[in-house]
Amino acid sequence: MSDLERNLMKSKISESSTSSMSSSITEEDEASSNEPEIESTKTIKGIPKFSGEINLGQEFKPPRNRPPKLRAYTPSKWSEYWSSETIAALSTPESKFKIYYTPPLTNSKAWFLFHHGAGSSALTFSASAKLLHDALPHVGVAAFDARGHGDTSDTGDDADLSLDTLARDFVHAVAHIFQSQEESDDCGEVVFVGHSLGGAVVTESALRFAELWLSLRKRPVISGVVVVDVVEGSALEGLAHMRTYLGTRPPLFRSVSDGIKWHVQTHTVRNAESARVSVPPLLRDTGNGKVGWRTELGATERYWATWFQDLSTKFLRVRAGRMLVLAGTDRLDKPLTIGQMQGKYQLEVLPEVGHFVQEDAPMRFAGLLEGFWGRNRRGAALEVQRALNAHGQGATASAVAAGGVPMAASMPKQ
Amino acid sequence: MDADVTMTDAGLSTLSPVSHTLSPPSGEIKASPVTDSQSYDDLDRWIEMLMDCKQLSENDVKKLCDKAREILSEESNVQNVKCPVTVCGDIHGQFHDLMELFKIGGPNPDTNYLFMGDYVDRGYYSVETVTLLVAMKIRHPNRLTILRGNHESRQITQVYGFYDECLRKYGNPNVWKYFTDLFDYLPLTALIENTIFCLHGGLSPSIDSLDNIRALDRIQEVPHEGPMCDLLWSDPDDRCGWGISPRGAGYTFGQDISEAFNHKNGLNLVARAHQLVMEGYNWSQDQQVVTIFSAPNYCYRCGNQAAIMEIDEDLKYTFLQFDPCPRAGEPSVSRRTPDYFLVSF
Repeated sequence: MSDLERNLMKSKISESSTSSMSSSITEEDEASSNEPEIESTKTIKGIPKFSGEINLGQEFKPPRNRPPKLRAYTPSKWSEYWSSETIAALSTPESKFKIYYTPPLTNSKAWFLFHHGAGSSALTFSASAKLLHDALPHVGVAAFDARGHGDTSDTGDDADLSLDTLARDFVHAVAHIFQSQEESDDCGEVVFVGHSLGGAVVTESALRFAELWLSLRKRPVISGVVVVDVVEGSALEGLAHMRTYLGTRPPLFRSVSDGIKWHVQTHTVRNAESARVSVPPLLRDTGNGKVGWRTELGATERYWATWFQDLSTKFLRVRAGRMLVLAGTDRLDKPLTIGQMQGKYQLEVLPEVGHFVQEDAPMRFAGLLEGFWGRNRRGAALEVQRALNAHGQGATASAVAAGGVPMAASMPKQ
Repeated sequence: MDADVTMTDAGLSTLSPVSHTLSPPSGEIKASPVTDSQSYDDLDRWIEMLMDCKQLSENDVKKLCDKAREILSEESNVQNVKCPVTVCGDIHGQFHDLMELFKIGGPNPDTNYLFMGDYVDRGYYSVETVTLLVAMKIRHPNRLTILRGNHESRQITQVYGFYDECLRKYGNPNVWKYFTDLFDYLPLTALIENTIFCLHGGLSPSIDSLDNIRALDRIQEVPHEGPMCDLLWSDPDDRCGWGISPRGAGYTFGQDISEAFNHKNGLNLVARAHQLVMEGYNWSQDQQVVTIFSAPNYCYRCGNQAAIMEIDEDLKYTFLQFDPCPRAGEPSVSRRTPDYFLVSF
């Protein structure tokens, strides 16, 4: 079992979540960062403002609002989470796609590649990708801003968010990452991770990988596909309400910090540390001293239904390790319920997190990815087979009992 | 639907183990639990209520679980079972389908039953289902065997419904705690007449004999790995040898593995549950392994049949298939629009 998984279990079982992670990006930050901001002199509605005067005649009670956390809603930099950024021409020679990545420490050619959801950005994966790379330094992590999103520009057609186009862009991004590494006999391997719409994109990309791969380099092996918090049945039902929701979002904010604050206070993102890095690329200067939304989701309505059509059966057709991570409750549709009950994929339901699983619970999410990697990476199955066949069954028994599945991970690489 | 059942404190606290008055079908008498007529009266009353899908009071559930723990702690990790017996797979809180099962298979104790786990989660009546099975276990301990499934676990039930259902029906998690504490005592496997090996999931690379299983310390939460986890999580597979399970827990095992295991342990068959099979039962691995699934139209949406396996005095198998029972007043299956979707794609 991986360290992250162990921590995950500990926090799940004891619910005390006293993690020993050295990183500052832990889910525990959530509680403290959700304190109402009182750095300004304005009184937040419904929260009595501490007057600063203590009535000596009464028992002293500390103010409910703790001293301001100045950094609570200030933007943080991508570079706190990723080692590098680059601009790549993916769709047309002029296109400028923004890619954030941290390469493997060695010249290993193993990567996790992330695709964000509609209206989100690459930096939604910042916290979890960093934790994952810390745990698996020989595996690279990379995420890009899809067309019409974040810092990507000049794509030729920002509004073309058809699944086909998005999958082509994504596979081009994968090729770009691999081309940046030295050529060798090892074609490398990838795990695709997609959140929400991104889940549909990585599933489509995995199924059509051979067709969409245009690079002269050898195609890497897809070791796994991870879909995060999207299920065809409920997504299609939800589309009806999407317009209404979009109408309720404030169109403008006074500042990026206000935008971060809105995401945290509306519980859109339930972890302020994550929001500080993930929200800035969602907002753009409108020129009149305000910031507005970078992506016009309303303009993409004609694609909405096509994104999720047949997603469940497509996911079950992917020939690689499969994991579905859901927030809150299990809401599988029929094909996924049958598939799950037949043991065809790994289902993980994380209680008490919102839609942005990777931001709300980066440590738990990274732990799941690490465990998934241990079981599904190239050679893992073979190593388990060999380990189990190498000994007599009796000897095997104790070896496996002691080590379990991750024993494979500790075996020398061939 | 949440009948407010208040019962008196009289009940299992008055029970004391005395000799068993029923003639058990099997030679082994473990705990001899309930004999005085008062206790039987209570138990029978409770069972009658439960058969009507009425929940017991929190206090009575506690008494029930305390008594059941005494009985189950006497059982073996490989519990011996005599034929005739009817073997059943996953139930998952589908109470009305369990009633259908008893209609098809015959009432307990006239028919002896062996359930292979997964009583709770997903269906709407996990509380009533598991309470009934536990009450029946106490009433006729040698005519009903209940094994542990991977859902009989604290962690899994917090995600897949049983915890929430307890909270909804009792207003606090006590009943969930009584049951999940009891689940630690459920036997892991059963052995019918030394020839049919029954368990929830499947084989484990850490285990090559039944004695390996007997040596396990089972009184604990289902671990994330290791032999006890594998017995509750593994699946048979078309590929040979051991494989990494796509579920993320347990292993897959091929026909070579089950053949070797059956041969070494003098078994004819591994009977297991854990996987949905559209016909309710499914032979695999050249009849070394059979999968039995007893929750029809699983999750009220899968369209599968359910089945149970009758084993007669001569160890002949008969499969009885059944469909979901027609019912009125079931909570609506239509799902709410998930909140998350109102937030973003």
